[in-house]
Amino acid sequence: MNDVIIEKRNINSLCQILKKTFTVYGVTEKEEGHYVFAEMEEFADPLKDYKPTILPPKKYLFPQQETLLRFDTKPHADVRPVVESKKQILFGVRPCDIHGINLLDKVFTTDHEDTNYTKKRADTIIFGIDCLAPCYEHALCASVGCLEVDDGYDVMMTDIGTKFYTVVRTSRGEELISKYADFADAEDEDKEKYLQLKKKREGLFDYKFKADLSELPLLFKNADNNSIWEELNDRCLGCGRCNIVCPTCYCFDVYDCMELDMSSGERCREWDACTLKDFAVVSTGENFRSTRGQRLRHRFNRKFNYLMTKHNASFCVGCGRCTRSCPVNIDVAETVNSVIESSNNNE
Amino acid sequence: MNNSDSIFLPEVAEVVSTRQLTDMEKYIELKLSDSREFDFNPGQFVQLSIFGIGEAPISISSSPSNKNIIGLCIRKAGDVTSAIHRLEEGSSLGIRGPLGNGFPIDEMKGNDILFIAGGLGLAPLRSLIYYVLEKREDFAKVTILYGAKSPDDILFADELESWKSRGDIDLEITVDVPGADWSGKSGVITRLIPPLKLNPSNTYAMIVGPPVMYKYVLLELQMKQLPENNIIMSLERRMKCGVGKCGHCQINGVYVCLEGPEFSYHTLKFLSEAI
Repeated sequence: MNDVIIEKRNINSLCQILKKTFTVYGVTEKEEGHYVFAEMEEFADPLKDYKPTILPPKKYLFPQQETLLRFDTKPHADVRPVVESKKQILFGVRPCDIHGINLLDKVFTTDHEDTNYTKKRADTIIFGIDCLAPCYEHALCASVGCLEVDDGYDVMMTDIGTKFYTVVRTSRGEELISKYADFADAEDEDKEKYLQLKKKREGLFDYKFKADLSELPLLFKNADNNSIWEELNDRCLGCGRCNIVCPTCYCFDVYDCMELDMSSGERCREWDACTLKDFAVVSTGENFRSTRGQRLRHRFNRKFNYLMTKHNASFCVGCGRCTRSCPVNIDVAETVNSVIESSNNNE
Repeated sequence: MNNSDSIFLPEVAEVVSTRQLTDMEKYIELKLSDSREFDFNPGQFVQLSIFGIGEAPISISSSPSNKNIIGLCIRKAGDVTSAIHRLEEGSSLGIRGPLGNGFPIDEMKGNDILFIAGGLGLAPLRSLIYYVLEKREDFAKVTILYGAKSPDDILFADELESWKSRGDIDLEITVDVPGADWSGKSGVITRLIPPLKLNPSNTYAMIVGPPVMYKYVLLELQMKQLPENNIIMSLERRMKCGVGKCGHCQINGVYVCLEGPEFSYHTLKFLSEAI
């Protein structure tokens, strides 16, 4: 499908139609300056410049709590898988969060496919909204290669004034747009405006790291004994907030819940956080990452070394949520630069 | 729906027999409810489910040649393992697996094998010991060193006795705290290593024990000049999923459940969080 134009005033009616078939989630301002993804009723101004939502849209693909199994224990043990899913649209997702979802696609399909995730993902249509200027001071999307996104969405909309320049990426997107949207083919002047804005943004997003992104895995690998982790050990509270708000954190705990009849129940998973104290404790009491510094080192290595090496992509997507939500202002760019600088000093 | 539809779905298994080994350890044998065969490698593990309480990772203790029985030695350590201790013959429970890779059996063939088991470490090694004893001609010299806290803590005492009496292996047992009735060796397991006459380049050492044991055993084996690739250790980690997702078992970049739980010293030495 060629690129199309959708007038901003037509967005609400499009969403109202989509709501008949899909659950539509969009961005709403929960309190001043605090945005969340939530089920949308009205799309008054759904795509206004918003700062990253408190939680990323990951929660619709990998919910905070999720049932995995249902079981009965009487008269004999019987267990059934639970894979819940529904047709849903995520409306107004930023490139950084689309990258986050693309990375979750990798981890939940590599080695063993996690159908609780992949079923939801298959049932999800993503309308992206491109960024033309940094959304806030913590954004480092351009530093981790996540400003541009060319996969993982069905439709990408760019604000070119009173209308959205709309790129349709998939056949699912094409079906929805051609069926339900009030659209016009993009004229040459629309395309020119779109390309101009894309060009203009290039100078607006800083590269914040003091080394090339591709050098980070090796720099982190060699920074195991770096004093930065001791310094952070003193600052970090081990609260797990950075994990919980991260679009690419996917560690979880599993627990059983019995019904009151004490014979049937559910097995569920729930987000866990590798910065919490008991994350790696074994039954004999040993804790393999007993200090906050070690746990934070682990978290940073997951983003810039372990998973980055395994999947050949930065697992920090640059949304800056961890920096924003850290109660003691541990800043992801500063931390990366400390590792880079101390490595330079040691050379 | 079958197993391929959810990585979290256990099969139902039935307890065939139980045997109290010590105050804390029980040996249970399971079979799958549909009596299908269970194919596994020594060193692999399963996730056992007590529905309503949870799951726990347990290494398989029985011989891989008997595919109708899954033998597990379980220490009462938490909620799940305590509930497993309460199971009787005929009870049912959930099982997922086998998980992990197991010991590098093909590499080991033709070599001398040195087993070093500390405490409950005998549980996963027992599966491998049976494999080696059943295919005794595939291996050269076989030595088993086993250390327990006290004589009362010795696991599988009758089997240790019968292995010893075969005459084609060397077996030494030591206890940390000997009682008045104990006439065998005492002291930590590392003391059994210096007197051994090893042929380092043709010896594989399989070590399983509590985390604290590894460093001291490694020191002794290095003095014997065993190549790093020939020293195999099995690691215990917290595990929730067993299939490389939940993140709990991760050592640096390595998921123990996917790539282990057995690793060569050569691999572990580059993982700062391993031991």
